[in-house]
Amino acid sequence: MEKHETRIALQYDNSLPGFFSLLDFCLSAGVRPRTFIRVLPHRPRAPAADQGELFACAERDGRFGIDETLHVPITDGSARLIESIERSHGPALPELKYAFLSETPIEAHAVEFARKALEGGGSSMSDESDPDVKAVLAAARKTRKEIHCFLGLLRFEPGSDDCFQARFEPDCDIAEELLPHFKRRFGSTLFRIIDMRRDKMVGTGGTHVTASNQGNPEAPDRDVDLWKLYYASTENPDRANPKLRLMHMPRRYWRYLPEVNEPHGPSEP
Amino acid sequence: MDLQEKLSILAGAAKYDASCASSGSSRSSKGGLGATLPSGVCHSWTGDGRCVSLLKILYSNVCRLDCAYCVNRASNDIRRTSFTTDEIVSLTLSFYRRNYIEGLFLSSGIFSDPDIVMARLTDTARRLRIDHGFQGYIHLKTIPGSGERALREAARWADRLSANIELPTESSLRTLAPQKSGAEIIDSMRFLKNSVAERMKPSPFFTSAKLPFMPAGQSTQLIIGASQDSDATILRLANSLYGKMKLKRVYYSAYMPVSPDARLPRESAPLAREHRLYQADWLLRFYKFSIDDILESQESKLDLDIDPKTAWALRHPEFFPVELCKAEFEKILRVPGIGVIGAQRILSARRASHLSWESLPKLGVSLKRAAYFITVNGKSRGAAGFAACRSDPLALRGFLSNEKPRKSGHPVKPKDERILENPPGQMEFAF
Repeated sequence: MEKHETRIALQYDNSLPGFFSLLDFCLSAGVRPRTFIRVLPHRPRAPAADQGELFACAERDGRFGIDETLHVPITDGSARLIESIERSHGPALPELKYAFLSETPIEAHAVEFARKALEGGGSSMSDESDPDVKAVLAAARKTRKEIHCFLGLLRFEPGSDDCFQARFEPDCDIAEELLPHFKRRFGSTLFRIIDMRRDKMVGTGGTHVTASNQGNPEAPDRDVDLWKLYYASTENPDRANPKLRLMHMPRRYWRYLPEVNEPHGPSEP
Repeated sequence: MDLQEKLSILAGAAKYDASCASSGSSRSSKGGLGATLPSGVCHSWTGDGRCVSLLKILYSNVCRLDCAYCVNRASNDIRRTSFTTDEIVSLTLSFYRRNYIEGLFLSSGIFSDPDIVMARLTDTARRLRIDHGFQGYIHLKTIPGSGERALREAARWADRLSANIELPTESSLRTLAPQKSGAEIIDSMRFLKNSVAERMKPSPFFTSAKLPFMPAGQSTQLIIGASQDSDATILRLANSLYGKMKLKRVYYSAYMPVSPDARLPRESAPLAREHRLYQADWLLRFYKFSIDDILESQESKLDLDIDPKTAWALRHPEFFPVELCKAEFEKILRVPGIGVIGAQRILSARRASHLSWESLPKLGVSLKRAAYFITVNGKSRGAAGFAACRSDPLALRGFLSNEKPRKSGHPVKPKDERILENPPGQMEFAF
């Protein structure tokens, strides 16, 4: 008789403390999860999922066949695990955090990565020939890369409440990570960053956008026109290299950039 | 003339300057506006793939000098204009708040006495810093012939100062830019370098080192192919500037004809040459190569078809294969297809586990190039191994070069041989 394998879905609240609670649960219970699917309300992947909550669950053969769902709550284990990793191999913590923020299904690899960190870490934590290490570091790198991109490519416009605001739809959950940089940059000037995909706002200029302070995107904007003129003036047709530009500035970012996304901007290569 | 027209002219006139870095400085807003990151930030990329980090403009394109290669030369019949300081300050702050730029790059034609021009640039920087609490990045050009007082004042407000030598020998300058003096430019670099060193000395009365003084250092630019100076001359000068003048960067800009002149080549210099010089520059700064490694045995030019690291590897078969499981960091760095990060990852990986051929691409190694020069656990990779190819070095060169292999097996000669030759009687700068 064929042995039936019980499939348990582990569910957590998609917060960072929830993520570390999940890792703590798996490590304490000796669970070695095979696969995780991350279901996010702004990017649903599983119709069977509860759209009100974010969760990770075991998957087999590309379909859900869940016998039991177990919700892993946020516990003190989260803080304890962070403390333990800090003691045994501190550099693993930011990697886990940035891997989590990548919103890729990283949990299974993260459990093993955390286990290695607790066992002393050392050089194995940067050994990218290990699939768990490679997956976590690659996910963390993806987040860092997007943060770095948007430090330069986020575009602000003045709202009618003297607050500069930027809207974007990043792949990773990075609005909070951008905040320290733009606080330093803006100084006493008020600003807000709006993550349209996650309906999230951060900044110093209040985190509530209303019809009265969101500004008028259709209104003529002298600074935008000057910027487009400046950008056009830097063009050097003798050195044109559209492939190189695309390598540095992929097309998915162009919608944020007035210098290239307007009818008079550079045409698509 | 309205602001739009001025911007179009004075940004267009500044675009031939290759430098646009905003790195090397760390400032915070302190309640004003702006901050800098040590790594710098790119805010856009131009159509030729160059990072746009700073608002790069001229204060004025009115110039008394008549340098043959320069679009702003006095004898050129172009529209002339100047910004006001208020206009530059306003543009910089507006663009900065939109997150279009990291700061300002301000150069100028020599429209008056050098000290007066330098003072205009410095005053713009000072007003940004003092009147508006601006802590973004400021790069100022030092004007040839400026006095020490003017240079010191510029260094107080700027993150970086640069003086473009443009041509790598005194004789080329004399031919193409007779009003410029290389020695004068190098003297100003030396003065600024010594001023930084002076401020770092401990003082019982006043710690001047804590006050910013061009924290991002100095840079310069060399035009490639406007004169007949060889790559060897250019690289020797760059190496001296890094070593003796402590420059942070030397930029190379392939010559482009902007106005007809019988003293200049009719055609642009190959961009590949500029690219190879940057690669060689990288090897000097980060890969512990010497000039002699890059250009051996009286060679005066870089191979346009093959990068300088691979060229060195092909000249030194006795160095290879490198056994990746045992070799030290410096030796791994010499392998084509393995960069600094790849070499670091290899060291980490082999401390933790056994290296294998399969794991190398995951570590960022380009096997397409490296496979010919390495062994892993004593094993080469099939026919790609260096030993297998040693019997046919021309074929190996063909595999690794940009050119398509020709039937004869010999590489194609560079197109513009004339300007790559090393002419006799060059007068290199003395340090």
